[in-house]
Amino acid sequence: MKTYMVFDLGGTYIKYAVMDEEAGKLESGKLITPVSLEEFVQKITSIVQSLQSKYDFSGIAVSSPGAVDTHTGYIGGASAIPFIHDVNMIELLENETGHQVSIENDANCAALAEGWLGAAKDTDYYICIVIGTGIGGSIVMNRSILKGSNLHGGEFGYMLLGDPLDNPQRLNWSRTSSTHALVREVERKKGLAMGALTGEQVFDSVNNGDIIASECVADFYKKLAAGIFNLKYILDPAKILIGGGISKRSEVIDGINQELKKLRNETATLDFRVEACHFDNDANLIGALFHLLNSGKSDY
Amino acid sequence: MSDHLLGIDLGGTNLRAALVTADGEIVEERIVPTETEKGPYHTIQNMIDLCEYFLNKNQIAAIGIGAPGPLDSKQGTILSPPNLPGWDEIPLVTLLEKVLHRRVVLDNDANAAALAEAMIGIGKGKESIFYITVSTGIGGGFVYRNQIIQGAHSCAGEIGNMIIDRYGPVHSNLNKGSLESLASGTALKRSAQEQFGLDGHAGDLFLLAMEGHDDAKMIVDTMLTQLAKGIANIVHTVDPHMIVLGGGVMQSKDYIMPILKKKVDLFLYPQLRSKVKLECAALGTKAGVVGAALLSQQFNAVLRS
Repeated sequence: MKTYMVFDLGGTYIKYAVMDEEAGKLESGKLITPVSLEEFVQKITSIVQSLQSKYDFSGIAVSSPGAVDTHTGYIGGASAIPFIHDVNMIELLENETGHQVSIENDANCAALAEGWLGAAKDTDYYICIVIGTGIGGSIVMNRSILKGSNLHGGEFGYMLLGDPLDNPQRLNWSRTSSTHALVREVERKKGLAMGALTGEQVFDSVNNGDIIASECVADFYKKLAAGIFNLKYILDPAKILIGGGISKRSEVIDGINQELKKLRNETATLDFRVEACHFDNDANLIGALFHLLNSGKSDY
Repeated sequence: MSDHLLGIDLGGTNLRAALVTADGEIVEERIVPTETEKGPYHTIQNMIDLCEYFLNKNQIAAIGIGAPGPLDSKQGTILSPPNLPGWDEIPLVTLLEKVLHRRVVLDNDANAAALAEAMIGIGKGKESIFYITVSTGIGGGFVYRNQIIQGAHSCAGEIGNMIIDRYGPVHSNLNKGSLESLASGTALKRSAQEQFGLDGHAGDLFLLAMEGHDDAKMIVDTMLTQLAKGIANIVHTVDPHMIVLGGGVMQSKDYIMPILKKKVDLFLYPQLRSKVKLECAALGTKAGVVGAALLSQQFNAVLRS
């Protein structure tokens, strides 16, 4: 049995696991995300070293925030872990650990996990839409991520659905239709301070008959459905998966699907539904491993 | 002559058939009127005659057909297109394969034109292109590594349906605020009629705009704003290596392109500004028939599952 060391780099924690070829977890743990590159490298190296006597690792897989260039090993853009950018992470970790290293963006890892072992394992053409602080996502074609000419494939959070044009990107899909935007809207209508409510509280209050929250949530489903409808007609994927915290609520999936139905007409005749992502906390680890097993080349 | 391809471009007005080289050069072309008033079987018989004419003289393994949508490329069936009255659920591929004993590949005309532009037109050599046709309606096609991405239900690229505005005219068969209702040739024509009684087509409106007619300029500007929004949404979704614009409205490209490029940049995420390649189609009216011929080589149309 081959074993692999897998890391999921996050702003708060770095999660890790020893996995077999089928993403079975043999061992796992987490540590608070270091504050410098030196500390990061030292901690990663010591975890690998402490475990490799027990397991003969066939490689190291990393899920990372930021615009990961899977070929060069550089992580562009900005993220919650500032020090990972602008170094060749693959080269660095390979030199320090002596193992083959592959890196992929975390959202892409989550999407790849769904295609490998999750909700999209029966298709090779699907998209994942992750709804949370903003809206992000990935397009998967033939089990590979569609990266695009500027690494902007799947950045449909920037979609415009018809709000004031003077500063268009101020009101893109991400800004108007994320969970964060919903919570903020409820807070505003109730005269509450920003941060007074959580997404969970908003949905719970809908279930308790709160009128303001109900109206906001109904509008939220409408706005999400409009963007999803557009993605369907741009790409026509076989599956559309919804991720992010709210996707675990069946009323959210149902609410979106009801609004999608209303958008059908004589020209746009497709009857399609969204589904929730299958994986939760382990999605990034599983997808990172999939990327490694595909020679670190599961992207176009 | 074994390397030649046969393409059929079935349009609302004309039926074109051409023998095309693998490089996209037309060797011989024949055009007959579609005569939609005579019904589908009249046109299909003409199509068979045209194919047999070419098949008798050449070695041809497969035939590609580009036709107006909606259609089901998987089943090879034409589904009641507005431009082909009477063509309801016509199993064109089965009918032709039975008579011609060749493999027949059917796809919509926008995808055929997209493939032609990607393989031998302005997008040649690009890894991915997104083709947009702005005409009576708005359609499109996404070509990735010289393969048409048809999608699970042959609907990829049907961007006329894209919702880009909360407002806009109410339509019987389109969503309010859809790209086609706001940025097609039909939309331009309707606005010009409503706002200053122009009784002409989109080309006339552009002529007026070029002459400095204020109402005409304003209508075109509004339409280009909407088109730019649709283009920006495509860029943010698939980030193609090139966007190619074709269709009847683009005959006024000299007026359109400078304005459109600026507007697209305005709608893009700042890091993408000036990085997006926006070009006009290069193949003109032959894109349809050449694309249809190239379609015949799409043996395993990808990503349908």
